Order: sequence, then C-alpha cells, then structure tokens
Amino acid sequence: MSVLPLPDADTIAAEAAPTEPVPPAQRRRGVPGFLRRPGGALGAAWLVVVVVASFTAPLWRPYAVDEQDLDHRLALPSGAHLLGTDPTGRDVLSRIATAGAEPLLSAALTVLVAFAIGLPLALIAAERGKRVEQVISRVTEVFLALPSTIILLALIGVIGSRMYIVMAALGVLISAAVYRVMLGVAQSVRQRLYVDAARVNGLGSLRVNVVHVLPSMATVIAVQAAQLFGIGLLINAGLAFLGFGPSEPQPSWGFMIQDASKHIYDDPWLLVPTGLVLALTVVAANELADALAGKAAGRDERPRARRRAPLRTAAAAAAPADPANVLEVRDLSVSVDGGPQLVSGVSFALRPGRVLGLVGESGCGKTMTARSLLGLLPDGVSVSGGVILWQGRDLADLPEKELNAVRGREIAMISQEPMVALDPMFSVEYQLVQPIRRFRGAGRGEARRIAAELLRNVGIVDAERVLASHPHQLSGGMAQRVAIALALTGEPKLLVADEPTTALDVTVQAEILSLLRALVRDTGLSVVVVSHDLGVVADICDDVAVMYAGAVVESGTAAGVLDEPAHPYAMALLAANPHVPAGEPVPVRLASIAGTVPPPGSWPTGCRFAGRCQFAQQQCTTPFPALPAHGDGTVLCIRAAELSGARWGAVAVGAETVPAPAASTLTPPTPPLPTAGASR
Amino acid sequence: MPAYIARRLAMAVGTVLAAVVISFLLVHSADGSPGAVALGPSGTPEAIAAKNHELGWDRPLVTQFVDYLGHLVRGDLGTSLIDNRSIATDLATRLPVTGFIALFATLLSGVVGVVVGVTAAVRGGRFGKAITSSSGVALSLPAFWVGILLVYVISLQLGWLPATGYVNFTDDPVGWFQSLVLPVLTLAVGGAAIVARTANAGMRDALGQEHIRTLRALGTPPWRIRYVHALRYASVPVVSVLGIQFIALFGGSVIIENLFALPGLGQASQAAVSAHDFPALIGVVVVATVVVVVTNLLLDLLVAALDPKVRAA
Amino acid sequence: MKRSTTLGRMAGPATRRRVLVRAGGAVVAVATVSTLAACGGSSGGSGGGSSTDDVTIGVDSDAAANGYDPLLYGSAQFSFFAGLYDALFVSDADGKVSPSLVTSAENSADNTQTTLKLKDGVTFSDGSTLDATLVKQNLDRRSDATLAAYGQLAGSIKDVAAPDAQTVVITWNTPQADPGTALADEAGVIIGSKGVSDPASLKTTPDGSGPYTLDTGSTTRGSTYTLTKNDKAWNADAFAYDQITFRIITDDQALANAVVSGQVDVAGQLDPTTVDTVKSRKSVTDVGGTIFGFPVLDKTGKTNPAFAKPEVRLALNYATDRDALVKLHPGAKATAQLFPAAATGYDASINDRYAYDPAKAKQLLAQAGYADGFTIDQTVVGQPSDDQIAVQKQWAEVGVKLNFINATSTDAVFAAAQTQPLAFNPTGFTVGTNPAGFVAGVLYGGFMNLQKATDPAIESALGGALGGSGSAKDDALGKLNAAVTDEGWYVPLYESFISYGYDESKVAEPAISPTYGYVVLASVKPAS
Repeated sequence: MSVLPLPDADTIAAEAAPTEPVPPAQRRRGVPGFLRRPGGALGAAWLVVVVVASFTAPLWRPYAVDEQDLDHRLALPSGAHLLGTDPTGRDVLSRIATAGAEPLLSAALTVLVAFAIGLPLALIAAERGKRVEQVISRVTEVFLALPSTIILLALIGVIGSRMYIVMAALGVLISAAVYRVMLGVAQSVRQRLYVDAARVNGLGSLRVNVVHVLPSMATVIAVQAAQLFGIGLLINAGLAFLGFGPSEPQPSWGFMIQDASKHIYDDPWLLVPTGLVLALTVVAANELADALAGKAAGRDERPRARRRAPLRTAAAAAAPADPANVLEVRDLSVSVDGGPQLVSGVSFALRPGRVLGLVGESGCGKTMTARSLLGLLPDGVSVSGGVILWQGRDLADLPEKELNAVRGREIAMISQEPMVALDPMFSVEYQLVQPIRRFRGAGRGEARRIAAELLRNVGIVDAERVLASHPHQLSGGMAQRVAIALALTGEPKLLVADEPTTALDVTVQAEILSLLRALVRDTGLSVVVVSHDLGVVADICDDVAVMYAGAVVESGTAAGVLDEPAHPYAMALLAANPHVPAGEPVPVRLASIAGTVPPPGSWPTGCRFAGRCQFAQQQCTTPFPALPAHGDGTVLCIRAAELSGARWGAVAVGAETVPAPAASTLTPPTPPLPTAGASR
Repeated sequence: MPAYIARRLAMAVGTVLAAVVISFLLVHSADGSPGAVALGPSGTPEAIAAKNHELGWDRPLVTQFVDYLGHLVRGDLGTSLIDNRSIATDLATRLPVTGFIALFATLLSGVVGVVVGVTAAVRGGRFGKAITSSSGVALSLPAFWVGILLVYVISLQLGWLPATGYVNFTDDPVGWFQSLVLPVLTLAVGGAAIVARTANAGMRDALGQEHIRTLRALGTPPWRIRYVHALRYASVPVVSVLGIQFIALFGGSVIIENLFALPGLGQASQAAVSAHDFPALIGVVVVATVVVVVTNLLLDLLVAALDPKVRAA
Repeated sequence: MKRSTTLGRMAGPATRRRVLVRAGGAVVAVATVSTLAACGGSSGGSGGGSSTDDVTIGVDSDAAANGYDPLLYGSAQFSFFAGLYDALFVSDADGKVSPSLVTSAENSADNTQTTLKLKDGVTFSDGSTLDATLVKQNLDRRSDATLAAYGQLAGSIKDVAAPDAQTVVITWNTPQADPGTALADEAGVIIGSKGVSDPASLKTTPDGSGPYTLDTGSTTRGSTYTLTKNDKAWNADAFAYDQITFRIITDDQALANAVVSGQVDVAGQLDPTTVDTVKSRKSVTDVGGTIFGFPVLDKTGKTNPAFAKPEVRLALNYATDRDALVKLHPGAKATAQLFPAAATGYDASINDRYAYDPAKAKQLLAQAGYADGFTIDQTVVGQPSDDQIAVQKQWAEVGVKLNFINATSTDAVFAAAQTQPLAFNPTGFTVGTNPAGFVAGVLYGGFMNLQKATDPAIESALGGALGGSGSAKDDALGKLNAAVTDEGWYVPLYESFISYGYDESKVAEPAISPTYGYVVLASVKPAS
C-alpha cells in the first residue's frame, strides 16, 4: 500500500461505491443491512473493540506504558505479559492498547476534514451548474496531482511532529479525491425527480441539500468514510514508522513496528502483535466499507446457471412432437433456484415461417419464456419443468455445450436495447465477421463480403461505412438493423425477438417491423416476438399467446385473439390500448387495469388475474383447466363462455384532461400499456 | 484532441506552479536555515547569517521565488544550497530508482491482479469469494510491515535475495534485478489486491452486460466471450486503476525507500526538507509532478486506444 | 562532521540512534555529528571473490556528502578519504601514530615548535608535487570554520613556516608533546595545489596523492563511491585491492542485512543491536573504547538553569542505574567514567563511587533547590534509543523529567548542541586510546562545550596530560578522568564496542582504528 494513496478514491469509485444513490424512502429500517454481512459485522465489531479498548486503556491496562523490566526484555507472551514485552521490558499489550487512541482519532480527523471540504464543494458544484463545477473541478485536479507525501514531509519540517495538524492537512489534500467521488453522486441525486420536486416546492438550497440530497448520498459517504479511515490509519502509522509520531514513552503503532524491526533476529514475535492489530483495524474499516457498499464477498456468491434445477418434471416430454411444428413448448416452468416459479405450465407451438407474439404486461414471464428457448436464463434461474421441443431435441434438457451449438446457428435472438446489444469496444465489422467465419467457415475476405451483404439485406445502404463504425456511432434503428444482421449470420431457422422495437422511435419501429416481415417472407424464418405492445403484435404476428403472471391465459391466431378476446385480461389489454388515429387528441378517459401483476411467489390459487378482474367471482379462486378457443388456441378463464362479447369498462385515470404529447404531429399509434407502476 | 492536450498542459503548468509555491512557502516558514545546516552545531549566529547571505537565503521571498522560476522556465533545476551539486544530475540518478520500482510494482500488480480478479469473476463460487476476501485483507496491510516480514523470510531466513540496497543496472544487471525484487513485491501486495478487486468487479460487470448476452445467443465460445469481449470491456477501469497505482507508488515511495535503503526521490525529498534545501525539494516536486502529469496523459491515450467511445469524444 | 542531511535518516530504523555524533578520538573536534546522513542508498557491485580485484565496504554515513574536500569531514569519513589522500601522519590498527607524508618530526625542547621533513616524490592527481609551500598552504586553511577536520588543531597552531622546499616548521600556541597525534589522519590531510588554491573544485574533483583515484563513472553521490587503484602512487603497495567500492547504507538494519546477505564484504560501524545478527551469519570484529553516555553540554545554566548547579549534574550520575542498562547490551560494561578501561587514567574505584543511589540523587537535587525535580529537553532524530528510554524512566524516579523532542531538520539537531543541556549519541562516542585528545578536542574544546565553560580541575589536568610525559602525564590523565565525572561534565553509562561485520571467506579480519573508530583502509585485505 502506498503511503499516500489519494487517488485510491478513484479505485473506490470504480469498484466499491454503489453507483446508484438510494432515495431516502427506500432505505430499510431496523438492523442496518451491512451488519448482516459477516464482513461488515466482524469489521464493525473489531472497530468497536479497538476503539473501546484504546480509549479505556488507562483504566484496564495491566501495566503503565513506561513500566520497564530490563530483566525481562523481549519476552514472549506469558501470563504476566499476554503479548510479551518490548526491548526495554515494557508490556506490549498495554502499549498497543494505549497507542490506539491517537491513530484512531487522527484518522477520524482526516476523514472529517476531507469531507468537511470535499462534500460541500461537491454539493455546490452539483447545484450551481457547469461553470462553477468546472472551476472547482480544475482546482481539485491540481490538488490531486500534487505530490502529497512530499508536501506532508515539508509540513512536518515546519510544524514538527504535531500529528493532528499533519493529519488534518492530509484531510485537506484528500478532500480533492472526496470531492471527485461525491460530485458524481451528488449530480446523479440531483437529477432525480424528488429533488426537482423539492426544488419546485420552493425549498431553499440548503434545505434541499440537507433534507433530500445528503440522505440519498449517505451510503456512499459511509463507504468512502470507512475506506478513508483505513487509509488515514495506514498513513498515520507510516509516518509514525518514520519517527513522526507521539514522543516516547508514549507508544505508537507505527513506531512499535519500527522498533520491532530491529529485533527480527532475536525476537521476531515482536513484529506480530502490533502489525496484526494495525492490519486488522484497517481490514475492519475496509470490510465495513465493502459491506456498506453491498459488495461484501457474501453477496457475490451467485449460483451458476449451468446448475440445472433438479426438480424438473419431464412428464410432458412423453408425447411425440407434432411434425408440423418447428417449435413446441409444453408445460414449461421456469423458477428461481430454490425460490418461486417465474413461469408455470406454459405451452405453445410454432409452425415454420410463422410469427408468434408473446404479449402481456411487464413481469408476466414473457422474457423468461423467450430466453429459456436459447437456454439464456439469468444466473440463478432455470427451467424447472416441461419441454422445449426443437428439431427432435428437448432444448430444456440439452447439455450446455450442445445448446451452444444450437445458439446462433439454429435459433438466434435480438434484444430490446439495440444500443447495448452490440459490444461497444469492437467495430461492427469485427462483430459480424467473427460469427460469420465461425458459422460459415468463410475466410476473412469472404466473411467481410457476407457481412456487407447482410447489412444491405437488413436495409442498410452504406454498408461499408457502417462496417467501419463502432456501435456508439450508430443510431438506435441502425443498431437494431445491425443486431438483426448479426442474428442472421448463422442463418437460423428461428428468431427470438425480445421487444425488438420498444427502445426505438415510432417511425423507426415501423421500419424495423417491416424489415422483420420481409425477412419472414423472404427466408421462411420463424419468429417469436415478445412485446407488451399490441400494435406490434397486430402488425406482424400470425399467432398470439397472452401471458399473465407466468402463465398463458389465452392463445390463438392473432386475428382471433385481437378481434375477439376471450380472456378478461386480453380484453383489458385491448381496451387500455386505443389506437388513436394520427392528429386526434388522446381521449380524456382511458381504460386501465387497476392494481399490478402479482409478483412471483404470491400468485393466487385459481385465476391469477382474479384480483384485478372486473368480472371476477367466487368460482375464479379455485383451480381450473384451460379451455379450447380460437381453433387451436386456449383460454384460461372459467367464465370464458359467459363473458363472450363482454367489454372491459373504461375508468377515469389521472387528470381529466390529458395534454397532447409534445410532438403532437407524431402521436404514437401504440402508446405502451398504462399500468400503474409498470416499467420495463 | 489538440484542445484536450492544450488543456492538459495548462493543468500541468498550474499543478507544477502550485506545488512549487506550496513547497517554497513551507521550506521558508520552517525554523532554521540552510546556513545552519551547512555549518553544523558549532556555527555561530554570525557565521550562519553570513553563510545564508552567501546562499541568497536572506533575500526577499519574492526575489528568490522569481529568480528560481526564471531558472526553472529555462529547464534549470539549479544547484543544491547545501553542497552545490547539480540538482538535475542528482535527480537523474534517483529517478530511475523510484521509477523502476513504481513501474515494476505496477506491472506486477497488474498481471497478478488481472489474472486473479478475472479468474475469480469467471469461476465465481467459493474461489471467487476467497479471492475477494483475501484481496480485502491484502490491500489493508501496512506496506512497511509487509516489507519487514518479506525481508525476514526471504532475505534473512531463506537468504534468497539481498535485503536492501540498490544496484545500478549498468554495474550489474542481475544484481539490479535482485535489488528490485523485494521492494517491488512489497508494493505489489497491496497493488495486486486493488487491481484484483477492480478487475473482478469490472469483469463481473462486463459479463452482465447485454452485449455479452448477444454473444452468448450467437453461440460464441465461452473463452472468446470471457477473454476477448468481457476482458476488453473490463480493461478500461483496470488500466485507470493501474495508472493511479503508478502515481501513488511513485509519489509515496518514501517509506519503501527507507525500508530498503534505496537512493530514490523519496529520500531526496526528506533530505531536502531537513536541510531547508528548497531548490532540491522543489526539484523533486517538479519531477514528481511532471511524472504524474505525463502518466495521466499516457493513461488517457491508453484508455482512448481501448475504448472507442472515449476515442471519439 | 557531516553536514549532509536528511530526514531520510529519520526514517530508517537507524535514525533514532544517531542524535549527535560519532565523534572521533584524538583529533577531531566536532567531527562527525554523524546523524542524518543523506540518503541511505547503496549500490555498486556485488561482493566479488576472495581476490585482490575488488572489495565492497558498507559504511553507515555518507562518505562525501559535501564533495571531496576531506577537511570538511570528521573521522567517520576518513576510512574513505584515506584512499584518495595522504596525511602527514597516520594512526594504525593499534592507534599508534606514525609518519606518512613526513620522514621525520622533531620538537623543540619546550615542545612549542615542531620541524617536519617531507617525503620526496609524492605526486597529486593534479600533477603537482608535495613541497613545504603546499603544506603551509594547506595548514593555512585552518582558520576556515567550516573545515571540521581541523577542529581543535585550528586553535593550537600559531604559525606555519616553510623555510625550504622539504621543511615545514609549525609553532604551537601551547606546548605540544605529541605533534604526530595532532597532525594524524583527517587533520593532517594534504590536498594538491589545484585543490587547495581553488577549494570549490573539490566539490566534484578530489585532488590527493593517495593510493586510489575516484572512478566518477561508477560513483553515485550519497550511494556508491568507487575507488580505482593508482599504481603510480608512492604508497600503492600498502593497499591490497585494485578497486574499492564504498556503499552508503545509513539504515542500521540495512547495513547489517547487507553484510549478512553478501552485498558488501565489510560493513560498519554496526549498530549494537545488529551485532548478534551479523555474528550469526558472518564474522564480527570489534574494538573497545566506545563510551555511551550523556555529555553535559551546559555547565553554566544558559540553556537550563538547573545545570549551573554541580549538585544537579552529579545527581544525574547517582540517578542512573548502569547495571540495569547493560542488560540491554550484552557484553557492555557499566562505567561511570569517560576513559575506557584500557586507557591510562582509568580508575575502577570511580565506578564504585557513583554506584546507583537514587536517595543521594534526590538529596543532591534538594540541596540545589530542585527537590521537586525539573525538566530536561532533549532533541532526538525520529525516536529515542532504548538507552534513552530506560534512562528517562530511571531519572523520572528522582523527579527529573527527560522530555524528548523529535527533530524534523538537521539544523534542529545541530542547534540542540547550543540550546540544550544534554546530548546523547545512540552509537556512543569513540573515546579510544587517546582520551585526553577527546577531552581537548570534543569535551572541553569542542562541540560539547559551546558555552565555553571553564573548570580549573579539568583544565590543569588536561594541560598536564597533553604537555607532560612519563608518570606526570599518567598522573594527569588519572586526574583528568576523575575530574570529568566529579565535575559533572559527563554522565557515562557503559563502555561498549565498535563493531564491524565482515565476510571471512572473502576478506581477512579488518582492523578498526581505536582512535577514530572506523576501519583502517590499509588493513582491508583478502582472506588468506
């Protein structure tokens, strides 16, 4: 560890600080979370022990710090001297304990001074805008580049070994690093809505900072303070090691180590107690910081995806696959390992060259279902039942290695965020050429030619320029086209598209949809589209499966489901999703679905939608089987027959008048589902 | 880029100036004078005053400062007040000592830290947990304590390496290498821990990125995903941390130089402070600051080379 | 003395040890306020085999921190300068002084005038040759107060004359029975014509007639100094090696480690705490005559009124439990006197007289009006040594508070000699075989008495010891030794050894000069 690791603040920012400030309301009460982690609890406990022992040392230490026993110098631990004695026969335990107060206090002083300067500067810079921030930042950059060790030495030359002043000066130097970390956090907090709201409400600058900004930064501040405290301890000990510390007979940890270093031959033990106490105290401070940052080792332990949950029930696999279907999913369940189900009993089938839409609100299991098709479930989530029949194989039961051979080559995927779906570090050319060479065994030049052709196939005119680009140089629509081209590199038979247009502008959405349509038409590709947008579904899907709370509640042809929804949830979705003709104002009353999707693990028995259903009755709360509907499709509603032709009623939402969207000439044809609290 | 470099240079000048002013003021506000140092305990106040006059120490601060800056601008670091030796020459022999140790320690912590951190991120589980915990401990250990323990075990008990001292490369390349091993190891313990944590966090962050899922969806072999794509993505924070490491090791070398009796810049700064030898002190400060500024510049260029987004910005 | 400096030293484990000096014996006055040597670097070649090719010597303080004018330094640097320069007289391994650049020396009957005949054929590195004018020119620099090597000699020479090319006549202020001792080693060094007429040139270029020349290409100031044999030098045959590398290792532990791990072939002076370390792996040679203790700098009360009272100074002697202190230093002997046990004038009964007696100390303090004790400030570099810590505790028993002040600059240490009543050198003072010289040059006429206190008992005994001969001289030495303790000019603790470590597979046991406490360069030879 360096003497003055000032720039460690960057490390702190890079690896420890939580980047997301937590709004005050969301913090949990009771036992602080960091104490529940073993590192945090042990760290805090050790710090408490050291602090208490140090400050009460005069009350309990077995010997005075200067009590010598020249007949028993450099003694090993014994009953009389639990940690042995030093070169003049003084009790090591008493000296270590007594020595603690000074470094603990002065490290705390460093932290205090660093924050007293760095934090207000960060708040001011975050509040006053770019110009002020630039000035302050420039000045702190100069501070950060100063050789602070040398300056501290020069300061000691002036004022002598007055360590509290020296450590306060260290705090001044470190404040620049504190400022840098805090500025980022303060800026991100200020961008949050509740801070704006507070400001609009006319709260003064100071109050906004104290009431709203600071509490949100509390965790980051605590993390930084704990780490800085550790650094302060190390620097204080380092200076004492050099001889700049309390004067004999007053002990100091750093100098006790220095003293011990002279006796590494005749008494190596002497190095151990002081070094360990110092090291453990710094470790404790860092562990505490880690725990505060939620980065303690304990939480890192993630079950690996390759561990497949043992509970999988494969009964459905018994039936042979319908040869007309390219993909058949039967009774698929997806669960958190050792936790609740996310998807339960989902079945659907897909014929070649057709487009299936999986539709529903967020949190209904659409994406999990789609990702299980490629075996790309998140870590800790796995298929717990059912089969995914593909080309005569059960993908749910395939070893990872064979599954990997299917990916890209037979089934490809495009995801909802084109801007992050491409590797920002590599050029488009590299990203396309690499899989082309792998899939098609092409040489470099050939692969490049194919890449350009693929780009042209997905409607990119200046393919050469795009090939030379990096992802950040592309627009969203362009990036999605590249992502589609990428998915086509292995000439797959099935494309899984997870919300392929959600992140795009409306005009671009239409282009991408027509591209997908053209691909299906021209290549015979089958597609599974995941969307919450019924407009998209209506646009390109042949078949639809409506999902709610992990289950398919209605399935059938797109025309059938959209025109004559049989399940109240499907009705509600349609009612809440008016297709407003361009140029007309949005109606003041919109149908909405009260409540939210129940989270996994708290699904009700019987109909899972019953709690939000306008038509719910007593009978809905008992389990019942799916009923046939829309020809090959199904509906999961016990009252489906009674409700045929019913309409989901509109209720007032929010303000009576809804202002037209800002860019009113381009009113979205398909606004997203207006569900409370729903967010992707 | 030119505007950026111009700004960086302006910052550098500002930093050097700030460092010069601060150290100048500190040296002059200390009790005592270079004359007293030069004459020793038997120096009478009159003799000391005469000596200080000869050294120009009694001139007004502003005059001394302007005079010094004048030389500095011409690239002249001046001569020591105490023994008249050329400061530039002196620092030229010291810079490699501190520089090599900081550089090798940085490289070693880089290699070890990246291997360990990446392996922990990829393997995860108990191994990852063990790595994370032990790196937390390693970065908390006081370097001087680690250094003493290493000397005890490696030099004194095992007799493998010299305990202290520095050998010039030109005198004896093998001896030179041996003289660097222990100081570099000492510094690399904490350094590797910091790099390991950064690499680990960066790698885990990278493996959770959407584009990695895209690659997996394409059936990309796992080794390529990890060691080409994720590693490249994680390399940006790692490189930044390595740069910071180098700066910290370079600037904070006093204790290590002391422990291992190395004639580096840290010792020079201590000597200059204790002798009120302000040209020597400022010489060290200027050199150290320039190294920081240059390192930062190289760092930015390296990050730009790694990260196309930064390159374009 | 060393004016190079460094808080760098403060850092090393060694630092706290060197508060003031390794004062050289006979001649040196202020010599060696060693301290704070600059940069404890070290570099240079590895040890080499047991050949006459090269040898590496690790030394504990910078050999040439202020350039290559040998007169700027005290005895601590003479081991090094003995390679580059010759002196009029040199002392050997037994402390015996013999002529070097002179062929004969004769005193006048009253010992106030000495006539030297110079050696022929001595050439300096600037091409000039040794003659009487050059010697006069050299000795005429004695009035320069910055030339530490002259020390007490500066005040004792009245006049230097050069009646012919080979003859120099020195006239003394006071009778000088033993001019050889006064003109030996660093005080008698002769610089060549160019160097002596332009001392500034010595900052970078030595100008001597010694057996070696400086290899500037392999020299790093403050770290490594490499000397190459000058076969044409008149005395070249007396030195064994073709090349000698001096490595500066100011850190005690580092110095010991260096010889243990074979980085250097000879290393010294070893800090007493590291001697066992070195003994366990390599060899150690030592010489007695190092007295550890507190010189009483202030006898007038100028810096601390209590010290004007002889009772107070004596009380400190009674308050010191020397038998306890030697437990810290195996092999050391408790002593209450300045003269080493081997020196003429040593008197065992003095030790009994000053046996540990805190009650008596308290009584003396009460007599002096300090029944409630008082406080003594003492500047230390870094932290005090174990001796100081132990004594601090002992004196606290009688109410005397020893208050350590950490020095942050070299001049703070130097200034302490003017402003504080007590000094302490954690590595002891080399009193050696010529304790009267030590008293004259250091204790009475040097930096231990900057207030110029006088004491009739010491003065008369000193006169007898320096000017007398035979039994009168011996008698005077005894009186001088007793007077130093009785008058409270020194608080001795124990006598210990100066130790050098060496690798016996490569070099023969080197000799340590009992007069200046450092290795005698000519004695460094390959193992046979």
